[in-house]
Amino acid sequence: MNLSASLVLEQVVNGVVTGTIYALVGAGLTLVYGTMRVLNFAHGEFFMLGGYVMLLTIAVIANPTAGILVAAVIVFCVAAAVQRFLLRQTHRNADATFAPIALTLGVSVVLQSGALLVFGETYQSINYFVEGTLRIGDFRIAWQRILIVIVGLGLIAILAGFLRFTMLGKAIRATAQDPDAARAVGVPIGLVHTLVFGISGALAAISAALVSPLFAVSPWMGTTLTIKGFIVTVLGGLGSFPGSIMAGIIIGVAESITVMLTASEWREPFSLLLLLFVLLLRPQGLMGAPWSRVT
Amino acid sequence: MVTRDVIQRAGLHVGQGARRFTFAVLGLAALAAPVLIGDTYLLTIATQAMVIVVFCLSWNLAAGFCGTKSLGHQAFFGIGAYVAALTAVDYGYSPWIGLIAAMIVAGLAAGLLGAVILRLDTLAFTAIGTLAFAEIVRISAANFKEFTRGELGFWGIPPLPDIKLPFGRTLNFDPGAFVNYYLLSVLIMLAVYASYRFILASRVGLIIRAIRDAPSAAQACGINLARYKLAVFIWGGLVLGLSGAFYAYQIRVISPSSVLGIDLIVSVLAMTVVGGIGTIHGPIVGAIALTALGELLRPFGDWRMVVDGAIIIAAMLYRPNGLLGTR
Amino acid sequence: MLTVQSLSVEYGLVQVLWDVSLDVPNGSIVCVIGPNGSGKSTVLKGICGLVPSRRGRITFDGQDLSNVPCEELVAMGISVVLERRKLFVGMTVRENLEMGAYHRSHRTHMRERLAFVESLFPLLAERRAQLAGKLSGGEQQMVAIARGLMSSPRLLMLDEPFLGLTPKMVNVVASLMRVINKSGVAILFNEQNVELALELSSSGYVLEGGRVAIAGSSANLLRSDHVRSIYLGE
Repeated sequence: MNLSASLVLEQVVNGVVTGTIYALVGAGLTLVYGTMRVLNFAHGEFFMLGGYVMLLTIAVIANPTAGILVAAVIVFCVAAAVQRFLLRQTHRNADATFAPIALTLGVSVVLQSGALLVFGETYQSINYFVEGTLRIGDFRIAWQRILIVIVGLGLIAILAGFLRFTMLGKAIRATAQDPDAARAVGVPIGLVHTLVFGISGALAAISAALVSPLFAVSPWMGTTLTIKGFIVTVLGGLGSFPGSIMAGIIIGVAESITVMLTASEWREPFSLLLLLFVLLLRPQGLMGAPWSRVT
Repeated sequence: MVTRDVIQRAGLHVGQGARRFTFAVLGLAALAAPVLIGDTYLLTIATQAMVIVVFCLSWNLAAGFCGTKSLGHQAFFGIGAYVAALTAVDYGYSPWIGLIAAMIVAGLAAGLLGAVILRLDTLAFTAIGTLAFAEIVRISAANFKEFTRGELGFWGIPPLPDIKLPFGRTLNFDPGAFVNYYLLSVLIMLAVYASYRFILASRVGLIIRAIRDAPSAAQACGINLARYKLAVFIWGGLVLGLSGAFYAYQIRVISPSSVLGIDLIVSVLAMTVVGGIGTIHGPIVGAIALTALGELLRPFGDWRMVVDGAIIIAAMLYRPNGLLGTR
Repeated sequence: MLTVQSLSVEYGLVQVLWDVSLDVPNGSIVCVIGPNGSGKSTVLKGICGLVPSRRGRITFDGQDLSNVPCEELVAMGISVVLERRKLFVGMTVRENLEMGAYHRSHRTHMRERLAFVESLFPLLAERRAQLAGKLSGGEQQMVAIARGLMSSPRLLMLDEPFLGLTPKMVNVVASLMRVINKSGVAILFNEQNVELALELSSSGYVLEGGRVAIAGSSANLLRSDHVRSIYLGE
């Protein structure tokens, strides 16, 4: 095994690339859980939808930026509609804690089989946005991958700023920290829920659009991602936005290193074991609130 | 006249008893139907349904009653299936022993996982923790190809051996013995159902129902909830280990995705929630309803899954507590 | 100002309040007292709509509140400070106060309100940038009440405002309530310490087992046999 410095660096950087995607996906899930206490099992399907919208848009307008924007907007609307018309109804009955989960499972099935019907069992991919590789000595990385990191981290920074500094962002944080108190000061939490769900969908869609040149678009591209998203969310601490970012990158890099050291088939169990290990020591995740406040 | 008085005075009790009797008779009739109709496809589906019902019952007791929101119960099913396959093929033991071995190993696994995970039984921790465990088991099964034959599947599992009955008859479980496999699956299901009702009616059941209705109050009474949750979790492991082994000997080929996949627990969750999680018979109703629905929709080809998902959504919109749950 | 008629509240299958009626006149201080578990908190939450189901008629200055969701009460001039403060622990003191004026109509006067509130609670000006979760119980209560005042309410509802406070802080909060009331804000609060509550308020309602046992002016209640024997141990 030739562990040259450039090889290790390449693997780490690749890990950051996948980690950025995991972070985007996990961030959406954690925002949803934080404000609504719902595990959205259809999240991977929002990702998948984003991939397909990107595919279709690119076929019409060969502009990747347009594709990403269109994907984000359309999936935002779909996600918001799902929350407003379906998910919100199950929320009314506070008794049924499993109903929202089952509902999102139903949505996931409908979206995935719907995609299968419409697009068939195909794998399609699109051209790289940016061709070429960056080379520094022996180290090389495709510009497309660097783009993913730049756009992804940029998006995260914008979102973080939004949450931290704008009134709407604070309203979202308030809803996550104490829904009753938020209502008491006049935060329209119904609107917040719909908005957050929409944002999480948009984040997933953008992630899919960014990786569509690297990985094929298919009806199943979302299934493993939902699970990965949950793992990132729990590892980072449910409801913690910074935690999910951190956890996403950590898992991405950890997986990359595992692949480098062993075979790729052990990539998944390693991150799972990492998760279990952290949970045993710190059940609330890396940046989760202390137990009295997490349900 | 005298009898009418007596019946009237018994009042509610007779009504309840009559209702239970009717359901029992209907249930037995429904169970007998596939045998009487004799169609092999129906028998195969019915056998599968029995396995699914057992899965739903075991998950319901843990998740619906104890609040253990596990997404990893499929691990025990798969462990049972693989133990059954390995003991019969690689070690040459009789499959009847394989059934027992599967139960024991799966039960042990449940005990180990439960001891670790159940200390802190919250949605996130339990759900994702058990899911992670199940996925580790699944991927290990796919990767340790020398033992498990990997993703290509473990073929050539022997069927259950014949049972010699008195009067020179034998009960055979050859591949073509659909009726016998079905009857055995019914027997297993009834045994599991009996133990399920027994647990619920016992002192353990009282505590479990207290946990379901008012967990903080139960805890305040000084009951060691974790111990009871663990017991239910291990029972689930034993039951699913048995089911998994039965499945292995019936279908005779298993793979990591068929016995350890996430879609197993997802279906079970959907069926139990639609039927009514935390109710006694909800899991059975949900399992039968959604399995039957799946079969009825088969002619629709790829539309089948879409309609399936839509029905689950509709069920959650109109009956969030399930068909048998409160309105 | 606020009239509650026959409020009944259920938590699922369990009924907690039966036919509770009360009245908060303009500019007054009204208290709801009674033993633990009698439903005092539920009365306030029921008025705000923070309970799963309620029946009864609630009017504020003639407007019917029965179908108004909690988040719209602030705009109408009702501010509620929930029990155990329920601050946004991940936000600073200043951000908590800003959230108090979340509604658009209140944001325009944000700066003046902040100045006013910080003049009432000088402590808050010092602790502006500190995370609310790191403050002591008494300080958190200050922030909670201050946050409630940010929307210039005409009615301030306080759920167990003295819970967990040192005797010194209790006095501070009590005199603050008097000051706020003098500036024209009506106050409805609940409290376990009967003597304290009746001395602070002009009228009171004694809640027992989810029902109003007796009610009247605080002076009369202090003198009544019922209150004296059961709650004041005389």
